[in-house]
Amino acid sequence: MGAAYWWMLFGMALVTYIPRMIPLTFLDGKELPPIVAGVLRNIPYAVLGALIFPAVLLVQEGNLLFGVVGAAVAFLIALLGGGLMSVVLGTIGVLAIYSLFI
Amino acid sequence: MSIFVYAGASQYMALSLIASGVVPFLIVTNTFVVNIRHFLMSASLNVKMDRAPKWLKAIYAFGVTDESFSVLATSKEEKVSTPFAFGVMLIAYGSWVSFTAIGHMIGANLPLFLQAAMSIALYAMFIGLLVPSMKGNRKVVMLAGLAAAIHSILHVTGALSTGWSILAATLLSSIVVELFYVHGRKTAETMYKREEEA
Repeated sequence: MGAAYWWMLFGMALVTYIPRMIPLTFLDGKELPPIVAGVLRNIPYAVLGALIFPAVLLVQEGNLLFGVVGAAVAFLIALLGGGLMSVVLGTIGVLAIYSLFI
Repeated sequence: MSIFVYAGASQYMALSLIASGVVPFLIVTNTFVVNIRHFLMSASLNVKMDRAPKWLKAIYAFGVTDESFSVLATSKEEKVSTPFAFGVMLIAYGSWVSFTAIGHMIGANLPLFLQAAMSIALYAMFIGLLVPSMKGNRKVVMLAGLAAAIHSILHVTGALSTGWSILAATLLSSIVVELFYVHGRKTAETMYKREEEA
């Protein structure tokens, strides 16, 4: 591992940190127009949607059904009112059994 | 790498790029593109967070990840306190670094069927965070559904790389749904006024 590797690591650390830091410090204490604040409040839900789909369907390369089953089980447990841990562990459990038998 | 570059997707990407001999500058550029979505997340989190000195916010900005952001932003409290944010992020970062080490030692010794099943864990957590907010809230359903659809289309067509695609889908969905609701509210108000006048 030469100097080039450490420079790359440093660069990666920098471009990872900067986009996270700038909005939190520069927007600090500023009053935003209500429409902008509204859009920013929407972002968590939109970003979760985009993070889940389509990635959840593609967790197993070439096996779409695996992801479909996983997503369906997770949604089902969550809809039935299961907590975060029961959603995660339940889904892993079902998929483990599923992949043992398929 | 896990200590300094606190971003899973970037590490995966960097590994495959190093393996195929891509120049470091391009790897750094790619890392930036993958992480650009956190710009939006931080801006959104800023609305939700309790007031705090800038240097404190600059410190916990390091801990903004998909996971910690999702946990903080979907919390039921009106405002998120700074100590709570630090707690969430320290636990996340601590387990990130220590489990990278443990994972390094265990390597691929986990049974294959368990490895496969665990790959769903991250998405199961996202679903577990999203669904309670979706219940009885049509706006949240629209936001998540629209962003998921846009990102899926961009992914299938290969129009944008994943980092930009998530950014575009999130922004577009948040803006469109917000405009839809603002417009809807205005129409309802004018109708109400007309009824009053009549």
